[in-house]
Amino acid sequence: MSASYNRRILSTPLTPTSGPSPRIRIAAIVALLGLSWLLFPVRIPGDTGASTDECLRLADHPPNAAVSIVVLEQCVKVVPADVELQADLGDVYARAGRDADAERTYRQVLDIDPDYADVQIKLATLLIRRGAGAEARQHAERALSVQPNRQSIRELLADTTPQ
Amino acid sequence: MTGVAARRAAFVAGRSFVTLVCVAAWSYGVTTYSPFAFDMFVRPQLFPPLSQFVAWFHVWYWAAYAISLLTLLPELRSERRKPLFAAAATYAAVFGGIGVYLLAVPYLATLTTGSRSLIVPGALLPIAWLAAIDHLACGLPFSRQQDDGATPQSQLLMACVWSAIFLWAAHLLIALTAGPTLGWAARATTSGWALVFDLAIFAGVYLVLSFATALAATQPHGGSTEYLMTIAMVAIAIVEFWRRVVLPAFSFGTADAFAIALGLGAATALIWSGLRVRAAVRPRATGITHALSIHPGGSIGAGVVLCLAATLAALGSRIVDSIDWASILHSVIAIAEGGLALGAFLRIFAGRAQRPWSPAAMIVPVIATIAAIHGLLLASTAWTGDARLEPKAIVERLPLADPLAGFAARYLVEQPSFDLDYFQRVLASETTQAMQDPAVPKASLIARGITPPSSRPNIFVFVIDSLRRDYLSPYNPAVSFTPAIDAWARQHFTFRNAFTLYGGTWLSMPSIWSGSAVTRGWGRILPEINTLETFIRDAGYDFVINDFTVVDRLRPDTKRTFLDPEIPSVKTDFCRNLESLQAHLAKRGVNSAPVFAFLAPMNVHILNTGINSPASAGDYPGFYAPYASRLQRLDACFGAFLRAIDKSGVADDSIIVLTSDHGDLLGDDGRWGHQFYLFPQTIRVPLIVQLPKARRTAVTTDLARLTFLTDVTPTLLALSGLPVPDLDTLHGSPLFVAPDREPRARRRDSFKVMSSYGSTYGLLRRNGRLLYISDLLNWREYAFTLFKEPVGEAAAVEPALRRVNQAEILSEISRIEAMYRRN
Repeated sequence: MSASYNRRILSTPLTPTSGPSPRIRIAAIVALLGLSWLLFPVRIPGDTGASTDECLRLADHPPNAAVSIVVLEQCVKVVPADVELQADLGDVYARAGRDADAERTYRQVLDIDPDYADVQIKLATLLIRRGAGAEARQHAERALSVQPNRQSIRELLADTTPQ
Repeated sequence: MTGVAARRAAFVAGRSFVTLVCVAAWSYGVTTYSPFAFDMFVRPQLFPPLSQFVAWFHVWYWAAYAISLLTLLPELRSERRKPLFAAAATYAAVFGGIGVYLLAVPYLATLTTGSRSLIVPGALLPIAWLAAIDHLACGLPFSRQQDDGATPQSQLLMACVWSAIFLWAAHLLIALTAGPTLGWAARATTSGWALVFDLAIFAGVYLVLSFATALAATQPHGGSTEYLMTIAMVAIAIVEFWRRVVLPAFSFGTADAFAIALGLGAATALIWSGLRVRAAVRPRATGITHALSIHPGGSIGAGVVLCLAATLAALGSRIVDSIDWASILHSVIAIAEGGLALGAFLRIFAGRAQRPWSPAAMIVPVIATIAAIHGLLLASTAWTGDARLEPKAIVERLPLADPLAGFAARYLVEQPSFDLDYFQRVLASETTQAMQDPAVPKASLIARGITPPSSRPNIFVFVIDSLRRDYLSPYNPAVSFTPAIDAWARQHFTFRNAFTLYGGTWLSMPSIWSGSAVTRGWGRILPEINTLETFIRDAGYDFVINDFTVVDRLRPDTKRTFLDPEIPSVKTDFCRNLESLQAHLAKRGVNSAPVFAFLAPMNVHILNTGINSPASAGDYPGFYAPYASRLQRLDACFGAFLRAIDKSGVADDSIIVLTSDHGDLLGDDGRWGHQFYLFPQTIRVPLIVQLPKARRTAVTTDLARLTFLTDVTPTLLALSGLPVPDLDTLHGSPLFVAPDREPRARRRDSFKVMSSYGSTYGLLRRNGRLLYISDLLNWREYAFTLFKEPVGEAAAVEPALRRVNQAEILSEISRIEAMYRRN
């Protein structure tokens, strides 16, 4: 096998010597290496995204009076996964007396994170205020399942019990 | 086989054996050289074959020495070529004598770093010396031949193109038979990309080898020059691979990694060249062909090598699939397979008529490959809808579908807004390079010499290595194989949002004991930061332990009972430990001190589930059967233990904590293990706590709060009635508080998480619901939202998200550095 291979390989013509000189070949190869270096690495078209640094950091601290409802509303739209931001917006609505907006916002938070006990409590409190004791009780019970034995939730539950 | 061929085969086998022994000793030396790798792998004897090799090193060394002398017999017999005789005789004398020096290898652990830095490179000296003798005996190939030995362009081009196609087809076949179900569109798209990147790798090889050929053509002995340049390139490839891929995974710094890789690259390239110069130069061979083609025979021999390479690579890939270091091993296999394929195709195309050197044949393949990669990305803007067809998803899958293509993509494709400055700052941080001399932090969760606690319940802490929360019924209703844990968890406190700060045992375990974030140099200061040990000692507990991470660093005078000491760390068994614990409990008298038990069994560690899977793993649809079957057994043992302590009344006055040090990847998206990963499956952990009967309604908690393993120790202190200071977020805090209080909220804090090995960092924000990952080993970044059970959902890595998270990671790194830096 090896002998026949050797015979065949020896009968093939030698490398033709024509073509550019070695120096030109080297220049061409170096140029190609340089071109590759320039063109790589390639960049994947990225997600440009709508979120901003300000919105992503807004809920790092509790909202203060300087943060307007408008800013919070805009940020909630561009960073919908930040439930803290939404909860903050709900709180601001509640403080402004916009109970319906607060209730809607708290419900949105709980759709994403039903284990958020504080928001369950806040929603239950709003619901008690508008006389929806039965639903308030459900939220308080859910909060109690997340924070068992917590005294303030037990007191809230007592408030939801029909007199 | 002729006598010459047999002698040749025996010679190659002998040299290979000597090389293997020396490189294994060197590898062990390198592992001990890195304090991190030594503490992580060697000290706990995580790999029994390595421990066996070291224990028997004297036998291996003298066997290698004797075999090397046999291969040198011709040189030792002939005194006519005096330099050669002298070199061989010196080898015999030096390495006979230096054997004593090298026999220090088993004792490396006890030596200073300076001594180690002498011995480690010394392990490579014998093979370098043998290689020098080989070159002295045979000279360089082609040096006495008329033929210039330069490789024709068309032979090189065809060999590179066919090597790429061959490797692509081989990996496609493996993926088709073994890969996870992706759907045909995703699979076809990934394969298309893999082909382009395989071609790109070999276009690079073609360019570099063409450069060697062209340069050789300017020299009088072109064949020798081409040969030498090829060997040098092999050495450079080995150095680069180790420097960039392997050593960073062991937390070696840049300078150390370069020096270590340089030694290995030079020694292995030399020994390889030694074997090649002793082989006869075949007709019409060239410098490149002679350096890379190792097989006998012509095209048929090359075909046999190709088939063998593909089969062995497929088998090797299957074997390493379930090993913790799979990604590195896959790359090694792919590179070895690529080298063999290139050598074989060079031999095959040596027998074909060659064309003159043509500029078109040089330029077109390279430009076409560049255009194909750019074209793929441009065309990707037209992709719509299916996330699995997005370029980022495909690039992510490439290493799993085709390791060589994945390797190419790692260097040829970058993510949007790749921030080199950020990566460099993180890599240079002291959290990446193990701190050699960390300071003891000023803040402490416990004071030395505490007054006895007001309450001393029995405490059982079970940290099951690599236990995934979504393999437990309390966290995943689809699980049916952990009924005992499920029933137990329903009666007690199941923390739904628990994490480890570290993706591996080595850092995770001390973080539990200290109750705080740790640095990679923690081993040097553990006695000073070991809060849990101080508590156990000062409270006078009957201390029972089975663990291999911290046990060697407990204070010598801490009284302890080490359970099942005859079982090596990797074989520790929860069932056996629980039986021994029960026996220990049964022996105690009525007035004995309460028990503090700490067990860290490795039943479901990937070293056991991946390699020693039981033959009949059973049927666990949707779960990894070798893991689930072992877990089912653990569940039964745990259930039996609970029944026993219930019956004896011990349970009524006991705290029981069931958790794990980290999770694991069990083939999720084709990934295995936890070595460099911070995906949700790796860093989310189960945490279930049983309190003494009298305390269950006397405390409150937040089961959805972001919780860490660092909270376990402060919780035990608080439940024992000890005051626990409210420290910063680098320290844990009690999980339980009085019903009229609230556990400390963590919704607005950021927490850095990191892999135990290598440089993968992450950030948890918003009560742990938002996870960002910076994988600096693979230059990849990921985002997840963790609202949906069991493992959350991937999210887009937007520029603003990247900026904010990178800044927070750097800030958290600075805090850790400040905490442990010696002023």
